[in-house]
Parts: sequence; C-alpha cells; structure tokens
Amino acid sequence: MTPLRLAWANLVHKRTRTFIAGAGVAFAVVLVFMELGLLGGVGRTATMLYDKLQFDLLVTSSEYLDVSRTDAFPRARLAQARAAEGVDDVLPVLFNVATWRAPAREGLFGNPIPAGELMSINVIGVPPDQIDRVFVTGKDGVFASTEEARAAREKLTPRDTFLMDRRSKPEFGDATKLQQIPLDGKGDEIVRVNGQRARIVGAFELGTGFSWNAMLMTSEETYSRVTMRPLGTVNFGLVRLKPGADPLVVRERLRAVLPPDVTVHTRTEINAQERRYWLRLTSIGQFLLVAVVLAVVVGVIFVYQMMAADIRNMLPEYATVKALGYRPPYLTGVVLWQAVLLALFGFVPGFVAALGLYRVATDYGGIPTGMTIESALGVLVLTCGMCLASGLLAVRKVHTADPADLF
Amino acid sequence: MSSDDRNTPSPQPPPPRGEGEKTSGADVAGRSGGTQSDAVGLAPLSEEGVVGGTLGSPSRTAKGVGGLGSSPHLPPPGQPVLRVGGVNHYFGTGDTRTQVLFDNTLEVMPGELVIMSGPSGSGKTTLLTLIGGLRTLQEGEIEVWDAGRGDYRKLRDVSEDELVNVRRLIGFIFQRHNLFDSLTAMQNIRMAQRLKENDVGDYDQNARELLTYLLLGEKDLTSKSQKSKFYNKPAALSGGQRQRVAIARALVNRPKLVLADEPTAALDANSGLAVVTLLQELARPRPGADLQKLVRSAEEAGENGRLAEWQLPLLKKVASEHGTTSLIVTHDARIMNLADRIVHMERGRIESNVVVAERLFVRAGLRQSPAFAAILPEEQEKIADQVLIGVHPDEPVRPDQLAANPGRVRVFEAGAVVMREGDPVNAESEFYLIRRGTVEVFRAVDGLPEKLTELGPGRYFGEVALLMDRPRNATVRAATRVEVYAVNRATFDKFRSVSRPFIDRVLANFRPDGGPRG
Repeated sequence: MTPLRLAWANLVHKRTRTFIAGAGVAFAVVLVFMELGLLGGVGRTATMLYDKLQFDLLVTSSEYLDVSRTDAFPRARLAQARAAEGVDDVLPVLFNVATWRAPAREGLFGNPIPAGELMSINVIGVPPDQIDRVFVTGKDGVFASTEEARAAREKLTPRDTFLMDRRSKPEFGDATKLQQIPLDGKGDEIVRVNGQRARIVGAFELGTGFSWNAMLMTSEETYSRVTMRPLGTVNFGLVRLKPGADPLVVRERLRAVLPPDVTVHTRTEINAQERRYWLRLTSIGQFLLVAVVLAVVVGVIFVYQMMAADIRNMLPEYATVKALGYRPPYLTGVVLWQAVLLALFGFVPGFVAALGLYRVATDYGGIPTGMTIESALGVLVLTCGMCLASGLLAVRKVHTADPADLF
Repeated sequence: MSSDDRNTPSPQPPPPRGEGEKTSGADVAGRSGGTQSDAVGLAPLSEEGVVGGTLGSPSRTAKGVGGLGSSPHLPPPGQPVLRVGGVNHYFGTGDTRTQVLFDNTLEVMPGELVIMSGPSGSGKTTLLTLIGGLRTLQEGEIEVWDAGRGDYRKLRDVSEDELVNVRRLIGFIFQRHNLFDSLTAMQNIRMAQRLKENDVGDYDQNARELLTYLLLGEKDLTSKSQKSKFYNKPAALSGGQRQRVAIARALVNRPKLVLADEPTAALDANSGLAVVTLLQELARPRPGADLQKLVRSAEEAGENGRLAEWQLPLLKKVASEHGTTSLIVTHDARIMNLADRIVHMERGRIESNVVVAERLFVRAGLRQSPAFAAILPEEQEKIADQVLIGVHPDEPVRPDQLAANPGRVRVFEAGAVVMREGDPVNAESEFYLIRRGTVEVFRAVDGLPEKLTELGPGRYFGEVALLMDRPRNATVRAATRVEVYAVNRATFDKFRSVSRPFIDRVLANFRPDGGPRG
C-alpha cells in the first residue's frame, strides 16, 4: 500500500468530506483565477490600445502618465521625428474623453431605462487615409481585414461620423443598431458626443477595460470639432522605422533631436510602463494582488482545516500505522498525497467555473479576462502548493499520533 | 548439615553398591523401624503428575516448547526472546514527574504464552508499550530477539528509527481494532505485509488463508459456503470480524513476539477458540489428536467454542512456523487457562512472575511430602511461590537466574554431595525438591555406604531431619548435574506449624513409641 494509494483510498472512502474539501479548494481556485483574471484584465487594459496600434517607437508627451492621461504635445514634433535618420513615417493619434448620450435600454432585470443618460466615452482620432497603417488589421486586429480598414476610411471622411467599438459595454448601445440612427436623430433616438450631433457609420474591434467602457473612432477633424481640441496638438506619434533600423538607436536619436516636451518609448518600454502603473501604482492593481494572496491564504486555511479535522479523526489509524512499523516519512507521504489529490479534485471544477466566470466578466463586465495556458498551469501549481502547505501544517498532527495510546 | 548418626560418620560419599532404585520412600522408611530415609519422599507416587517416581513437566511435555529446538529464528537454547531488566518509567516532568514502573525485570522464553495481569493502573500496559518500542525507554534495559539479525535489539538509548525496527518485529493486537476504514480487510492486512522485506510468496494467498481460518472466508464453521469478508471495509464488518482482521494483520508476518490487549474480548466462543488455538500453534506445534478434540459438536463445545474439521489443515498451514511468543493482557479465562507464564503487576511492580509449569511441578512435588500434603492448596502455593525462579523445569537454570533468585535453587555438579549422613540440622538446613538431574542416596550399613535409591526430577529429600530435628540419616550425592529447589528451615517450620496435627500423626510413624512429639 503506497502512500498514494492509501491517500486515494482515504479520499474516495469519505466522499462527502472529500467533496466538501474539494469544493473548498475549488472555491479558492475560482477566487485565485478571478483575481488573476482581473489582474490580467488590468494588465491587458494597460496595453490594450498599444497592442492594436502599429508602431516601432511611440512618441508621447513628457507629461504622459498612463493611457487615460496622455496629455498632448505639438503636432510639429511628428514632423521633427519624421526627419530623423531611420524613421520611415510618424502618424498622429488623438485620444481623449467625451460624453455620450446613452440610448434607451433595458436594465439587468428587464426594467426600461430611458435614453439620455450621459456617460464617459473615449474618442480616438486618426487620419482616415492612414487608418490601415495606424491600426493592426487582420485576426485580433481592430479591423478584420485591410479592406474593412479601407472601407472605414471612406466612412470617416464625412464630418461628424464615428465608428464604434463593438465590444463597448452594452449600456452604450449596440453599434449595429446605432448605425440606423441618422445624423439628426430619429424620434427619441439620437446620437450625441459631447452634446454634438454625431452619426455612427461603422464599427471596429478594440475592447474595454479598466480605462474605458466604450470607444469611438473618428477623423482628426471631427475629433477636433467634437472635443474642441486644436488640430495642432496630438496625443501619440506612431513612429514607423525604415527596414533594418535599430529601434533603440533611433529612440536615442529621437530623444536627442526632440525637445523635452516629448519622450520616445519602444513598445516594450511603454507596455512595461503601463503595466507598472496599473499593477503597482493604482489601487486596483494592488488590491487585486492582495486579493490573490488572500485567496491563497483562505485556500490554505480552508484545506488545512479540512485536513486537520480528517487527520484528527484518523489519529488512531495513523498511530496503528506507526505501531506496525511504518516510518514518519510514510505518513507524511500519505498526507501530502492527500493534499495533492485534493488540489486536483478542487482545481478541475475551479478551472471550469473560472472559464465560465471569465466569459461573464468579459461579455458582461467588459473586463478583458482570458485564460491562458500559463495562468492555468500557474494556478494549478499554486493550488498544489496551497494544498501542500496545508498538508505540511496538518502533517504535524499526524506525527502527534502516539502508538502508545493504542493500548 | 549435621549427621543423623554422630557415631557413624561417613566422611566420604559411599560408592554405590549397585542396587536398583528403591521405588518408594515408604518402602525405605520401613513403617516399623522409624528408619525412614531423610532422602526419600514419603508420599505414594500416584499423586497428580507423578509417574514412575518423577513428576512430569505437564505443560512442557504436552506442549513441547523444548521441541522448538535451535531454529534459526529463535534465540540460542536457554536464552529468552525478550529480556526486561530493571525498568523504571516516569510520566510527566518537573514537579508532576511520577514514577509508574519500578525496577521491573522479566524474561520470556520463545513460544511462551504470557498473561499480564494486574489491576488497572498497575503498569502492565506501560510495560507492554515499552517492550513494543512504542515508548522511549527511560531507565533499565529491554532487549528483543531479532530473528532476521540473529541478535537482540536493545531499546535503550536508541533512535526513533531503531524503535521502528523493533516494532516491525512485533505483532500488535489492540483491543480497539484500529483498522483503516477506507481499506478492505485484505488491504488492511497488506498494510502489514508490505513491511515484511525480502519475503517471497503469495501475499494475497497468505492473507486469505489466515482470514479463512479465522472464519472470514468462504466457509463457515459448518462448512457451508458464505460470502467472504476479504473485500469488506470495516464499516461492513461486525466488531468481532474487525477484531479478527486486526488479529490477522498482527500475525500475517509471523512475528516472533506478539503484544496483545484483550485480543479475544470482542469474539464469540468459536472465533475466540480459533484465535487462541492459532496463538498456541504459532507458539509450538500441538499433536493432531489435541487439535482434533477441538472439533466437536456445539453441545459438547458449550461456551468453550469449537473448530471445524477444515480449519485444522489450514491451521497447520498458517502456523507452519513456531516459536511465537505472546504477551497478552486479558481477562479471558479461555486464554488465562492456557498461559505458560503469568506476570502479575501491582503498583508498577512485577509482583509475581510465575511459569505455570514450574508452579505445577513444585506444587506436585510438595504434595508428595507429608509435611506439605495436608496443608491447604493456597498454603502450598505460597511455599511454591517462595522457591519459584520463573524458569520452566525443563530448562536448565543459568547462573544469572540463580543470582537473581538467591537461595531458591541450588546446583550441584555430578559427584557433589548435597547432604551427608550425620550432618546436624540447624537454621540453615533445607528441604529439597529435585528440579533437574538425578541424585543417589546412600546410607552407611556396617560402616559401608549402601546405595538406597536414585531420585530424579520431581522427587524430594531432606524433610525427615527437619521434621524430627535430628541429624541427616542418609547421604545424597549428585549422580548428574542436579538442580534442586531448596525450602529453607524457616519456611519449612512455618508451614509445618500450619499442618501440625497431620505432621504429628506422621511423626508417630517414625517414633518407636508411636506418640506425637511436642
């Protein structure tokens, strides 16, 4: 009877107890997955926009804090950058927040909510003729194909036209339905951005996160008009390098030639900066990190309680095993195998539940959660570690089993 | 010793004249002449256990522990399987430190069935746990024979790892079965089997046979088929069935030492008998006829239980190895009646350590003597207990055992004079019961030693001089190496006074005037 077989027999024998323990582990697993999912969502939020923009180097204001507080810099910096050796082109991107007049909709419980509620929406302005060069196209791109990007260019050429992110939160309205509303509205149905007339002419795919709940795309002119920002300033400069140019070298070159009101980042740098900001400097990142630790601690305590109670009940049996002549490592092995099996029993349903909750969080919460092999394996290892930690705490009790008490 | 006849000293042991053994002390005594030899017993040899002038050694001849021989699994002949020496034990520390065992010494020979008795709290369980390596030995020595190593394992000042090695030598039977609820009967037994290293054989078959013998297989006592309990978990077994599985678990590795706490408490008569018979058979082989007697009808068996015919060959198979020693704490009379040794503890001390065969041997020997025959059995027992040394009469006494029990047994090499005719009796004079060996009895006739008889185990001599308070009337010399139990003068006189009326009548036979002496 190997320790693994005995551990298995113990768990299978006490099915109800094992089910409860497994459920406890599963609960901890779900908690960890959710916290990690949300944390991942924060990370994805941080880089979501940059992942969908095409650039080798990114020019931002030197006052840039994070993607939601970019500050603007003179458009002239783009021309200066464009002149630098190794730079192929620099494209402007405008990015700001506007108000959105929400359409009529139904509440969570089917209750009607009238149109007119004002919401915060992000607006990104790009030169329509460069739209396929600004955004990533294709699978997982902002546009499914170059053709769709080119069609979007046509759609955004007229004034006051916008494309809407299909993955905007539902309360902002359905992009397809909103396209049916003419510029001047139709009855109660009307589209207003910053209180100005607007028309949704198409859609794109970007996604929401902790920074924004919905996104509009428009031309630079419309952007300027709607946000009342001068066209002489931009928020990002997307630097495309000539083939063979070293991004680090060009970055240094740009930093040398550009005035100090702007700074230049490589993609890695801006992504790292965003993640650091969101995960380390914002309260939400810290909260979620603490929540992950708490979930693990809760899991350890729960599993420990279950295992300790189980061991307490079985102390005479363990004492008998000692009396038979088994050495302490055997009993340690039994308890630790039991812990690992519990981890597996709990992980599988926890994983499945987390997949469902991720879907809910993504679809209904607009939080870009996603299961990855790395996170699944990571949580599996963490769960095993959590249960093993509980087992190691509980195993002390096994060693208190005194065979002398059997007589 | 003083001379029985101061005028006819006999300084040298007289050479034998070649006469045959006198068959009875009474014959020698000569009812008319008052010349009863001091060396020869008075009682007829028809007393219980006395055959042909010697006492049998009832349990040993029947059970044949000596027949275990020098198995490689057993200690050298005459050596115990378990030695306990000067064991003290304390519970608690500091101010609460309390001594619970006091200088306990015990030796248990291979194949003995030892009953530990005593009131609750007397320390028997603590001693058992120390022997089993379940507690750390604090003071004293315990040694357990390791058949695999061919040496003793000491339990003093050893690591936990070494204690575990000792535990593996022992089969533990607990009153509470303590089976793993999650494992079947077979799996519970496999838990123990797994520890038997380098073993060959069919583990499952071994466990099945043991369980079948213990009536958990596919046959019941009446040979009817039944659903076996091999794959039942404890929850699906009765208390008695669980206990039998626990017993099988303890015995499956054929340990040479079994420590058991009320092993038959939860068992019905038939199961209890099966267990007890198994323990006996593991101790030493029993004649088939003895076992056959246990196959009987329910009416005949009564509360003593019975075995089925089919169990006998299985018993021989599962108990093919012998020499297993069992230390059992029990109040079950079925086991107590079969004990080879009864160790009684009181207040942390071994108050008595009685080898049953030795006690029977001594009592039967004493009963031959008129000096003791008349006193109550309890009084006889008291005398017997004062000379017992805790060694089976078939086993020679070792010097250390003599030293541990001073004055109880004396050893004479062949040719040595045990007592001499004419030696006066005094406070140091003794009465003797032959334990082992043969003595020759001589009396001077016309100045020449005449051999009166030879006496063997179970015969006594030396009481006449003590009774009559006169010198020894014969010379007794060891024909072989002789071990004799010695009852000292003080003890003799003490019990003599108890049986005074009878002794007076006896004395009348020895006095010319026939009247009692004051």
